[in-house]
Amino acid sequence: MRYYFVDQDRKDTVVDLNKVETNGSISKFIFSEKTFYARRLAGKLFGSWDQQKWFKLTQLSAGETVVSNTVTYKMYRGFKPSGLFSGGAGALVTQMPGKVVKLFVKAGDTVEKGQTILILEAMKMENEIKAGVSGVVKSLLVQPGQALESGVLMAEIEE
Amino acid sequence: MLGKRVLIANRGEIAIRIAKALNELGLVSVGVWTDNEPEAAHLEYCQEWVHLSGNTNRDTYLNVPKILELIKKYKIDAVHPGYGFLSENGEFAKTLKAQGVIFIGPNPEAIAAMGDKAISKQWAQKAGVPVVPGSTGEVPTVEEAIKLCQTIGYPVLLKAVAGGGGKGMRPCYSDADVKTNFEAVQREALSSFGNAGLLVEKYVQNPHHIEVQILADKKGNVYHLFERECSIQRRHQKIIEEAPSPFIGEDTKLRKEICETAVKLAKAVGYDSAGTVEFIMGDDRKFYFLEMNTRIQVEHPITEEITGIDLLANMVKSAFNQPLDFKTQDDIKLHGHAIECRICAEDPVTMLPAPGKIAGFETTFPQGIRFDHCLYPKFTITPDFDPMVGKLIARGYDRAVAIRKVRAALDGLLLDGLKTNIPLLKVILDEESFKKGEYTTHYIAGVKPQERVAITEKPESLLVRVASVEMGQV
Amino acid sequence: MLTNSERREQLAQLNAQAELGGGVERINKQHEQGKYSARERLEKLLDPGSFMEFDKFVVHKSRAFGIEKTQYLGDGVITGIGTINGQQVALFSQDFTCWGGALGAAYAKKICKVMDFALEHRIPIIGLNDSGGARIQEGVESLAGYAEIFWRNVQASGVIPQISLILGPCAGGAVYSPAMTDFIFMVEKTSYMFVTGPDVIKTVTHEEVTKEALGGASTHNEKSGVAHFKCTDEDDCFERVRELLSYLPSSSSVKPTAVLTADAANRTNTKLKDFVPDNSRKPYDMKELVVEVVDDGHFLEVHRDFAKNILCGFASVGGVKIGIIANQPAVLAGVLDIDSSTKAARFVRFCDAFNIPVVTFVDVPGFLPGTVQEYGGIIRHGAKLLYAYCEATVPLITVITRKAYGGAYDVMASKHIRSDINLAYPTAEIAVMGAEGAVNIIFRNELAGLKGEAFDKKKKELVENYENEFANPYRAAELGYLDEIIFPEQTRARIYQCLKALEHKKVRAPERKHGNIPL
Repeated sequence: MRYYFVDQDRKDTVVDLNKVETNGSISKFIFSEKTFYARRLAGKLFGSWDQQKWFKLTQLSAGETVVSNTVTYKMYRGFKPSGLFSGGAGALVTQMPGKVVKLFVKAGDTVEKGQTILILEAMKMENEIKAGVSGVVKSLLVQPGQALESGVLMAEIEE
Repeated sequence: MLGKRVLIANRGEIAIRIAKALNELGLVSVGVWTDNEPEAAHLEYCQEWVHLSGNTNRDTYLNVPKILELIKKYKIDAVHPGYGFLSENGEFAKTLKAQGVIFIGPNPEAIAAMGDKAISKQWAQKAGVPVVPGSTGEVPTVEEAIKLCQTIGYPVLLKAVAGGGGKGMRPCYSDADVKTNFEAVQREALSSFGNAGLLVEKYVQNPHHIEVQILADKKGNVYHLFERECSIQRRHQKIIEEAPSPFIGEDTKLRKEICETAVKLAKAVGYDSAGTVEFIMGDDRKFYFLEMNTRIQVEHPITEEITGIDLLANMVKSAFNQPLDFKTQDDIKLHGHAIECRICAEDPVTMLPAPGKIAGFETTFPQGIRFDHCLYPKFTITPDFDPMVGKLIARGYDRAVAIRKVRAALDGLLLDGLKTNIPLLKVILDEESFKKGEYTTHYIAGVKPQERVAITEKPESLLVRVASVEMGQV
Repeated sequence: MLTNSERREQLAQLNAQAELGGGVERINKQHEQGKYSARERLEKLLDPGSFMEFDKFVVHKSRAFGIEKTQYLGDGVITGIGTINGQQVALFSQDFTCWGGALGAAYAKKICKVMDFALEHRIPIIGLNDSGGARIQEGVESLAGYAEIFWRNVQASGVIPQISLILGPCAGGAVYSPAMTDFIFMVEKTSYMFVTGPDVIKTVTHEEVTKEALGGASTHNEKSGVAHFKCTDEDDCFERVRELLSYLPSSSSVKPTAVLTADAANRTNTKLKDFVPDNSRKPYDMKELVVEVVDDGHFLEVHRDFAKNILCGFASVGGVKIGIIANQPAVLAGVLDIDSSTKAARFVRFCDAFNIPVVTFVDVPGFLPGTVQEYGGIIRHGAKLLYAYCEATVPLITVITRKAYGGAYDVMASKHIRSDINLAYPTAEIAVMGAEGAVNIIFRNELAGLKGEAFDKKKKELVENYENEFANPYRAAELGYLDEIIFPEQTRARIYQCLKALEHKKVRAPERKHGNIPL
């Protein structure tokens, strides 16, 4: 069971709970490097690192926000929800027939993921073809004004 | 007085505190909830719950016509304004008086007298209360400024008349300094506040903020309940308060002097109900009147703890012209020491407000702790309201014991889900100069305790959170 | 006679033996390939300690080819129930360490038993597939076993969510079980599915192709559309399954529960104010719009890499779980074609089966022209999406952000096919066709005699007039085909309001055995 703690800068801290063993009223939580124990007593929740010294815990639910001094985390149990995906490869291939209208880079340029490489006019739309990865433009195989079929390799970006 | 209906025109922890006093005196506590706080925790202590429509403070707690409507509709006999909101609104007090509704606070004339900084200073001077020496108004030229400075004595502060928040002021230690800085401060004042007017004031060095609690009845009897020291402040807001003042310490003569001075002023303006006279005291142990707060204050609990006197109950009794719980000034005795830490929803390093939702709330306190708050698990603190969510007060046999107890209480206060200043409070309470009681209002700026706050807890604290969630899954 | 404690010893030993499956060596081999063992997968997927195993000691009773000499406790598949996010689910996990996870009679019976359990108790069923196929030694009994499973897949279809994880090979007839389930997850490098493998293909058609290229995760996610999710590794796969399940109800007889979110339901989408570009030929990323509207930006895309000109996925608005369909103007100008129609149609029908309201964002210029589409049957595939929307009885909310032309306007959840609420932005263009095409037809005579500059000028004038007249939502609004034209920043608040209003929608479908959707 993996927990994700996502802070205000969208950085993750991952905590892996490998196993839970329950022995009577005490539950044993086996993490990658440490083991923790927890139990209920008189309607409250207590935890311990050695089953000797016990301290009170707050009672939390998944999906809540927890704070560690100055850092605020959103806590996700079992999965990190999908937000804005980034998909895409270094090879830019035409998806449909079209005409190259404008090029913004040349071979050897460094590009960032999401940067517009060229404009392809197709389906009566000016489609911005964007780099799927950050890297260097290995090759630019088309020119402005060129009419292309579907499935043509327009550029290659090497990461 | 029994059975009289009192409207609490406030919310949060002070509303709870007021309700406690009203309930114990046999009055009917009428609490208010607004549209932006339908789950108002303070209602738990109120006997009657009344809806005040509106989504902002301006529309609700600060809306006099709406409150007057409520008073009429629910046949209210008296109003307790708490602190903030309408507590120092002289017009409101006057209106209530005219309508025959009791305002649980001082009379309108006293509010007016002490409400304006300039007017209150005049009253103080008339009453023979020392005020910060300085110009009575603007000082137009360098020459006049220097003449004044020579009378007052250096060091002095050149201050913008329209200034505030610590801006537009420069200390000067000699005539030459005044000559150098006069025009500079004028320019700063003009650009920051649009007004180039300057005044001159004595510069109190290593200042302490010391205030005296006043309680008076309607028969002209004015009492003091000793002093408090509130020098630990940031952005001119108090974070930690103590009673009595560690700076005054064992100097009973000084204590008597400052407390009786406060009483003198209160008597001079015909004060009744509870109030606080604020002084500034330099390391030369000379004190000067700053202003008077004509209301019950946030930090009143520490005075209650060292005197054993219920300020709220007596405030209410005074308003209803009932005899107070004690008879003479000598009945009020000082026992031990008390410290209050204000728990605020804010970043412990930047000290900026950080609203949020409480994910978990647990307390494990030592003996001698009082926690005045309006918290509950899943409570959401919104930017609408003050970031202070509670006051942690410890009473001890002496100052060291009080510090020990409040420090342990901070360890036992678990508030998860939002940033709080608890880590900062811990740093301050552990810090040497605070423990010795050697601090002034420059403490935060000088010692910079916020820089000693760890950015995060140890990584193990995340494992503990995981275990807590898992235990809840079953 | 064994004593009590000796019996306890015996049980403990048998448990341990069953849990080893095909043995430590084979488990290690799985690990070397980046695969978990069948049991490890269950531990990682389910809530800790929640798994209860059925039929741990079932063994096969076959006598063919001497296989009675080898018995595995559990016969190579682990079945049982557990919880995910607190939700009860039934599962089976095929154990590759036992005869390569090959299926025989007892094995199939175990799977059928847990499928029956899931169907009867209305909980989702999850299959972790990792098998070499049928146990040849058991002959027709293996085939019969598969068929029993297939039949149950169909009985359960639309009653309980069925999810397949392909975590290893899945070949031959075995692929048909996952094929009939609702969602298929595949893992890069370790999973593959095909009906006939590269070896047979080589001999029959002489094509040379690797297992990965023929039926790996990328192939089925991008080319064939057989798989709905592509995962980087098994851990990622389990996380996505958990995420998917968090949006689904336990069965079709209940509605999805609410999501706990701090995102205010009436939050203004200020980012969308100028989001649709002025130039109607300029594309934009519809996913950004969706992410801005939904709770906390959480949008679980289904079939992300297939038919990218349409988006399908799960999200929530104000805590209400919804399915989202949205044309994607950034890919293929957002046209509808064979793949996008089938992708969206299946998604709409899944949401309809499981009481999940569907919100549709429309920006479609029409259907993709060309012989490839026509010969490929765009007529009957496009009809699938139309059929799915018409058939749906869940709350349907439509938001037209820009283009809605021609037949595609009708298909994309228009009012006429009984979408409940139809909203449009001021930038919406609802017409039979775009200005250029329309002008060419309507004003053919006026333009016939003109040439060169005069032609261009006249055409430009006519196009502009047409656009002012028709490239807006008002003609449709005048006819009551739109319920409201909203400002884009109101999108989220409006959708939430509609979802609340439509909470108790109840529509009775006509009495019939079932319709005849074009396939």
